[in-house]
Amino acid sequence: MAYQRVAIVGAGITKFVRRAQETGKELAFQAAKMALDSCGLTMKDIECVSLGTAPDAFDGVHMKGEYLADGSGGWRKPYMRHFVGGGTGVFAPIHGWFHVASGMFDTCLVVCSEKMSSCHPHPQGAFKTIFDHTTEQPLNPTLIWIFALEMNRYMQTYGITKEEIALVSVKNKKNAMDHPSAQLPMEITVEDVLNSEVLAWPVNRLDISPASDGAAAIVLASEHVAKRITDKPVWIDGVGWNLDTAYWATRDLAYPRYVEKAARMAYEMAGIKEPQKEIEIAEPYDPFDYKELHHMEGLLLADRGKAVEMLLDGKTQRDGDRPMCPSGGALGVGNPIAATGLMKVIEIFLQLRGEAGKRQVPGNPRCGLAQAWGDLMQVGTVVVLRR
Amino acid sequence: MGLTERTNRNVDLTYWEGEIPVNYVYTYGLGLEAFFRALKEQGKFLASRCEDCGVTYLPARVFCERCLGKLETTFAVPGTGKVYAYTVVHRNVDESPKEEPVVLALVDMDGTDCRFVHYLTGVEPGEVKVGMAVKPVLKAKKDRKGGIEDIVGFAPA
Amino acid sequence: MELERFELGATHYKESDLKEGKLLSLPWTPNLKYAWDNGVAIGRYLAELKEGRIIARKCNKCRRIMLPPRMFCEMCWRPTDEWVYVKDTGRVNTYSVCYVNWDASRIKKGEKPHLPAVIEIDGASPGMGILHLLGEVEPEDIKIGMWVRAVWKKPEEREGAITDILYFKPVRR
Repeated sequence: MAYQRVAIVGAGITKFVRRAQETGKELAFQAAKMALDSCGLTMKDIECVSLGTAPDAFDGVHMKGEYLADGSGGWRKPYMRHFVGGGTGVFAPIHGWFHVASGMFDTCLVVCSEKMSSCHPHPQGAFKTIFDHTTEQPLNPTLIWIFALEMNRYMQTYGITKEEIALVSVKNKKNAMDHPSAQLPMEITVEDVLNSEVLAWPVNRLDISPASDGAAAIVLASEHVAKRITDKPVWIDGVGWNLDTAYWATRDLAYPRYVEKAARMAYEMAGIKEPQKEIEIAEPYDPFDYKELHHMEGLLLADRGKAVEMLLDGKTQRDGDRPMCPSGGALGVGNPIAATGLMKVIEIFLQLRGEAGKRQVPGNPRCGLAQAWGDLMQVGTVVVLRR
Repeated sequence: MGLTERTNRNVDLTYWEGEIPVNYVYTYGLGLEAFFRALKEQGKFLASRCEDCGVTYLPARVFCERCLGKLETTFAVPGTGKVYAYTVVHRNVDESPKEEPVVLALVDMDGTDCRFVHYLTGVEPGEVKVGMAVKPVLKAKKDRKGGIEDIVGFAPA
Repeated sequence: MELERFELGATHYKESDLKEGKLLSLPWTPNLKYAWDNGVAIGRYLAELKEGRIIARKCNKCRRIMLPPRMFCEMCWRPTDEWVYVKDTGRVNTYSVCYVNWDASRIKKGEKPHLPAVIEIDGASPGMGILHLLGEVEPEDIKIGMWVRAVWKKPEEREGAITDILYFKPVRR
């Protein structure tokens, strides 16, 4: 396939907070402006804009893509919103990649913004209507049900315990102590997780990422333009995404096959034959702690049921052999849905450039991966990055 | 029944009723917070200007939508304007007839590059003209809450 | 470009700041009511539930018997072929013990937790689970793989809804 090579050349992010005074478009502006400033560009240099934002029902703004356009730099530009629920934060940069890789544009601003705090009584309520309206909603489901059901099946299939899974939360919330955007950085123990309120067994409060407001943005450029902007471009060498059936209850809940298919698509494009050897650092999507393990397996970064061994061996710690969520992840930095996925892309970008500050992993990694996940537990979105 | 067959018997078709049971509380954001506070407390219309693009925004904003430049200062404009376009509304949102028709207008706001959408007041529908000069009519200070309804409407100047 | 070198956006406020008028805000309660057409497959599914039966749809190509029924097979991408009655018994694929309501409020003290489960219905293809609730069982006695049977509303109380099945209860096999 002939396409232009695409690099990330700049990045911006807001703090992630439970309630932001800023409107969604002001958050988008803050992140987008920082991304432009970080690489010395202005809107005159930007040829198109890719926006990612999750369900309109969070912000309570119908046609949120259009609403967010001005804060995202969409004024009189080719502008497009991309959306696959929680997978959006990695889907929007994939679409930015299309815009540039195709040769149609040489630069693209990718912006993801989310303001969940507008939604009452709780943003979780907006999720009720993602369940089938006739066959599931009458049972009064909460979003946590599907996670609890999946976590239970995953634990049962591979004989994994809650104590083991809690280590992911402990790790990520601690990693977040070094992230300036973090909403829930904390030093906790496995006991703290197990003793936190049981929401939907096996899910306790500290197994879950919070509801958040926040935004993130990156600047993409084609190869010949990127080299004029920065001497440290980070290349998007592989992209992949995949959706499973909407009949979520009929899927194999212990293994995210759709994530595997998305990963294989990205690996093939990036020429990666042995992901466990070649992907040195990753940001799997971690809205719940078990999801980090579940996704490592789907991403082929661990054998089925074996991600927990890497966790127990300390390999996924920031100073371990295969750091996972060195940013602090959704569990620690926060989870403003679409912005979370892009935060993960930004973390890998910074880590590969050696600019992650206190979060920097040792070993000068050359190749990393960011992944997001969402819709009705059915989509995986993956990018492979190299310096 | 195959995919291409049709039924003409409405009684065979069933449906399921439901709702999206959420409500919202919107913050105004940095830009509108400043604008509506000034309107509520001082009866002033705050604008902001991007010198690079030569655009004056009303209500005041914290960024320029054209260049994404940061706008850090605000200043008051008169709040007067000229009718750019208008419509005479005879029905309510639920399609029931209004007792009296009302005039909804787009007003070119003097000294800015923006328009307000609001009601015209103190004028008969038949007398409204495009280009007509109008001025804002505010609620009494004690009744102002900090919102678009603090402006009753725009009346002929 | 370490993040630490930048002044990051987003200004946090407390929920009480709105009540105390420190920040302006505007409430809105949308009136979003819908009547969703059931369509052919779910229309029949609900009509059969009213009669105390569970019906599935079969695809003659992949031979899957699918629940909930659908007029097309998403795997073979072709119309499905036959209606098939399945049993009202099955096995628990996975379950949860839930202390939270749909709006994130907590269940009241003394109230029993919700017991959602994915139940693989006998007669449907393996893995064809539906979301439903468990009942007449203590949370600690629930096991993955446990056999269960539907507990139906009385015939005169059924309305053609998934809730015509009150819950599934354990049965001995």
